[in-house]
Amino acid sequence: MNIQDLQNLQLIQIASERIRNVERPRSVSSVSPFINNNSTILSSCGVLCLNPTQESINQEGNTQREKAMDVNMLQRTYSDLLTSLFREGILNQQFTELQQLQDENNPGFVYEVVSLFFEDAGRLINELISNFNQQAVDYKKIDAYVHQLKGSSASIGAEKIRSVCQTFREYYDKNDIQGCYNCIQPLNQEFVTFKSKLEALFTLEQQIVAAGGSIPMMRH
Amino acid sequence: MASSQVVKVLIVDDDNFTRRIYKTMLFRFCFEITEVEDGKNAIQQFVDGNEYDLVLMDKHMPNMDGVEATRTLRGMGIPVKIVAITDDASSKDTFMDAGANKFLLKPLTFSMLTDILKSFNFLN
Repeated sequence: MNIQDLQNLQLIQIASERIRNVERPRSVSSVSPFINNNSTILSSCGVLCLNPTQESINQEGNTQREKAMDVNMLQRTYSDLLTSLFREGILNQQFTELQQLQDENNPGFVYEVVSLFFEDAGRLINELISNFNQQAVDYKKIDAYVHQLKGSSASIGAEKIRSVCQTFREYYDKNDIQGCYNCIQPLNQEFVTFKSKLEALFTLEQQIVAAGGSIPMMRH
Repeated sequence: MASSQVVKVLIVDDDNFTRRIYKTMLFRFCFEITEVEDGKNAIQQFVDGNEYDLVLMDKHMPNMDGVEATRTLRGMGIPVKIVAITDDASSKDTFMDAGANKFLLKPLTFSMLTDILKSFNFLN
């Protein structure tokens, strides 16, 4: 992970803590919009004294304002993370296509297909690594695995993974076995990176929804 | 069109991930969807008497690839609309010669699918 990733994770942690431990104001010393005509004013010290009902209403208002700020921060963190995924070339436009397919009839569609991809791609990459470690390498089988991985990564918008698969196939077509072999480690690394970043994105989504917010829709 | 008013689509692709995405796109139109994993099972659907309005056909599949499946369906006199969807750009001529109606490159987007459905008058 790079510094930006660490900062994003720190933001997520801070936001989560604040949601879990909403601080209540120790005192009410300013005029609240929720004050009604029943409030009592001590004009000698200029401090507004409120009956207990008014104070609890103000505390409730401050809590709601604080929650709104937490949701806003989570949403900003989400937007920043998603933007960085496109900027770094980890995701492409196809991911936006998937997001647009998600609606009230398919509320968890993106999460579902990405989870499916994690499972399938993880299995394929393990098979690739395992096959390359055999004494007699079955390159036809390896090519079939990479072909499948290229297709699914293209379908989900996992651009860097797709790109490494494309490079592998170019080496394969030229019978460059060393070139093929050299693609495996980067392929695994790109998958690990993709998985960790998408998991962070989904965690933020869950926190936004739990805090009563909505997931920002973004165009790329 | 197939006998009922609902458009019936057959998805032929060995990747369950791809099938899932196509299904979600097609559900938007309330189509009836069947999915199979290879060309051989696609042929079997028609042999069993099932009728479809549209086939979304991948190329590289085990048992029977999409080109062979397309050629076989045309040889059986099946007039269903066949749309080849593959990442193998070099297979376009082969697919069209085999009898495909349209050829698209993966990944399929929702707008590509909508355009195809409109061209076949499946969106009324």
